[in-house]
Amino acid sequence: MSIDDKEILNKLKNPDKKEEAFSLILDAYQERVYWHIRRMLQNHEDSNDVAQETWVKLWGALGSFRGDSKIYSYLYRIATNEVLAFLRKKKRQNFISLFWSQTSYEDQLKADEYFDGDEAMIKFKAAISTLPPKQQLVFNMKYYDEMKYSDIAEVLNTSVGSLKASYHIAVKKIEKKLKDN
Amino acid sequence: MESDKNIKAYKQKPEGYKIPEGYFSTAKEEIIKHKESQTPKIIPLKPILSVAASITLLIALYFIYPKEVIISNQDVLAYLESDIESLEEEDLMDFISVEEEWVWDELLDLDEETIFNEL
Repeated sequence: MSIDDKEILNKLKNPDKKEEAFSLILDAYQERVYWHIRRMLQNHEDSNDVAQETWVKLWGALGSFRGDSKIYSYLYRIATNEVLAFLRKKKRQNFISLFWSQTSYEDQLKADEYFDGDEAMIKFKAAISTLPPKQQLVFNMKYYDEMKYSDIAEVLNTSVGSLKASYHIAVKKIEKKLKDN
Repeated sequence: MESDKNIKAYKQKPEGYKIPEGYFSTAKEEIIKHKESQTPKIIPLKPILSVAASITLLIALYFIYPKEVIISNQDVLAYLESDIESLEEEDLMDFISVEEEWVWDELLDLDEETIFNEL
């Protein structure tokens, strides 16, 4: 489901209709935003927390939304920033508990009650997880969300050229990883 | 896309991610309910104020605390010499002894503590 950005903008001009506009965006993009986050964070609990935070942030930012970018690019950007912030925080925590727990990515997925992918899919997901976070984002947005490079560029605030290169490298790395396995 | 043809097969398979039943509607209710809960980013004033107070205190102490005034023999000599004509006998004796002391200090090249202890 897609929504008319103009309709949303018109509603946002009237403070009494902010709630209505928010609800429309939520209905249209809740699932896409969740899956965007889930593919980065893998587990449901973390994804749920980050998704909630994303929507709260969007609500806070809607008042200043002027329509310079598409609503869904704006929303994706908030979600992406939240994901990256979460990963940074997690990296710090993991660094502290470096010697405490070292479970492989595959084992984590196998143990996850909200994951039932087959062995091939576990290997595929594990290969994606070896990419740097920004490369993972590019890969997921292109491969799964089938977003245009121009839209990804708007979300990640980067050039189409570097995105194409980034996606190409990501695909090569994943293929190599799968071949090595 | 040419570059991802080898991994295209994975796209046809279920990703394997599951979510709790009715998750999206529950989550939507939660979001609507808690959307105003964003706490404004308040700068933590307490630690900033305590650091500022400590710095102010240190600066104040620096100015208030009596500092050791060091008057060297050279200073005394210069002071006496500037008004040598009006010096009384007692002052002249002081002048000579200070001058001698300074010369000896210079000769021995010793610090005052060593000279005092040795004497």
